[in-house]
Amino acid sequence: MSFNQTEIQTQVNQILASFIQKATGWEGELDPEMSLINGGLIDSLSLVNVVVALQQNFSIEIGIPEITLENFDTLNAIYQMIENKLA
Amino acid sequence: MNFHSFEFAAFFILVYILYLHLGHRAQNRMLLVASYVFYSAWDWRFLGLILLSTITDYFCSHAIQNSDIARIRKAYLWLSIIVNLSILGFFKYFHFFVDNFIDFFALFGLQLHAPLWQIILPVGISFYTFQTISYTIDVYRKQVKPAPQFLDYALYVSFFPQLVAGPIERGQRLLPQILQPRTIRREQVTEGLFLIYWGLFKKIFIADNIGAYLQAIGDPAAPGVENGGLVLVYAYAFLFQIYCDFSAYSDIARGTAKLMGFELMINFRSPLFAPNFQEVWNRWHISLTTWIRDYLYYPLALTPIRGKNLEPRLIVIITFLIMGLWHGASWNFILWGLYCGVLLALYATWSAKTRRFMYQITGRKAQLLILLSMMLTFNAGAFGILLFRANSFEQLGSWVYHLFFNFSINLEMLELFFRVILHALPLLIFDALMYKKQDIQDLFYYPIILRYAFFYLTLYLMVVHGAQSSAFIYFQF
Repeated sequence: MSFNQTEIQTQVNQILASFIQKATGWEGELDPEMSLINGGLIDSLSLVNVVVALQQNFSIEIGIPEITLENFDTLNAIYQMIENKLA
Repeated sequence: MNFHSFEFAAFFILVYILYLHLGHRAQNRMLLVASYVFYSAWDWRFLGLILLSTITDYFCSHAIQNSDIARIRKAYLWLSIIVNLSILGFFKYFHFFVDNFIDFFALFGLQLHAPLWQIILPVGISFYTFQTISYTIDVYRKQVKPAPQFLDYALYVSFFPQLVAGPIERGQRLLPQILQPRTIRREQVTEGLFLIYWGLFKKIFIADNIGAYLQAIGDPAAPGVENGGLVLVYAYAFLFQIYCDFSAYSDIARGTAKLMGFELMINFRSPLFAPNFQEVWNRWHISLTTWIRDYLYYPLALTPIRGKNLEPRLIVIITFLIMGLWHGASWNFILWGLYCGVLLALYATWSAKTRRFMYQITGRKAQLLILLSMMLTFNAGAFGILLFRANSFEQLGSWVYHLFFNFSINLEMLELFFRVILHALPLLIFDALMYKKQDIQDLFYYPIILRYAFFYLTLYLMVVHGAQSSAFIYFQF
């Protein structure tokens, strides 16, 4: 299955918004540069769920070395990582 | 050779003088010899184990690097893990498993006998074994390139400041510092000296004085004492002691490394002020908790079993059980791990359900809530430390009984409580100041009068009121 840039961003936004809403009750607009991990919106437990959901949604494999702050702290970083994997 | 002994001071001064006069390559060789001498001061016979682990991982890491065949790479990874865990398992857990095996068969009337020989636990084995395992896994994951020279890798395994009680350093962080020439910056010297000084203060004034109180108490639920109030004071005292003792070691390790131009990771960030259990584990023994996260939690959480991923909260409990066992071959450590894992899983559930309401609380109410949460977390931690400390289930049962069903307070206990708090006060002030800071650098910009007052007061307390020296608690792990 192939995804264009807008589809990637929309689906990542949906996945993240759903997890964050469940975990924190946050219902506001997610800013692409908002800090998700350092900002306390995602912790290590929900991060694992996010990784699993992204893997299933985009049929990609995210290796453990890739679970880093650089790849997951902002939506922009997540978009970038997934785009690189799908490229 | 304890960090707070004159023997170590003489050793380090000699090493440091040599270090300053040598080139990069000679520095590394000299540090390797110094590290082996340092370890031999505990027991030279166990140097063979470090060498076995070093040779195995050096060989396996290069074999992994040099192969493109997945099956071969995995085989060498498992060879390294099996060798390291076998050494750890034999020296640390042999008697524990044999004794439990015998007890189990005794339930069915079968009388087996334990071997007569005793295995001595090599100091620091849990720390360097985890360090070497992480290195080989990182090479396998292509996060680290193997060290080209065997002797440089041997230094990574045995670097004396962190050899016997961590921090457990990753190859990504420590190896480049070994392989590249180092420069010692002025700030590193200042920070290094401060960390050594603060570590010595925490060990000599706080941990060892509180340790003396604990010794004086003995068993807080022994016949004739039997009071829950004393059990509570005992739990608080032991929590302060173990935190100061262990974080002191980490500070001195970081300090001595900094003096030589190395940067080791921060192992503690004011954990006693954490407002929940999750935050405690983000701040306590960070090098171990991040190790557990990266090499146990993530692999378990991200590997589907029959097409389904395990529930993260269950994995938290499993990993904490393993972490409990890492601390020692005894049921009380396993129970402590289970307690911490269950608390963390419960907190995750509770937090997911209530966080949305918590965000709506602001101002003074929010501050009060954080304060209450901090106190609750501290007390949960203090209760957990009783599991960590107990020598038997009978003793633990007796402590818990008196704590919950026979609680009273008398003047003697109150005095003891205030003595413990007075000793821990410098730590509490320091940690409160450091809670939101990344590291100690900001402290050097405080007004000069405050810095001098801090120095003279702590020096006075350490020199005049310091306790008799004892070994660091975490050496036994």
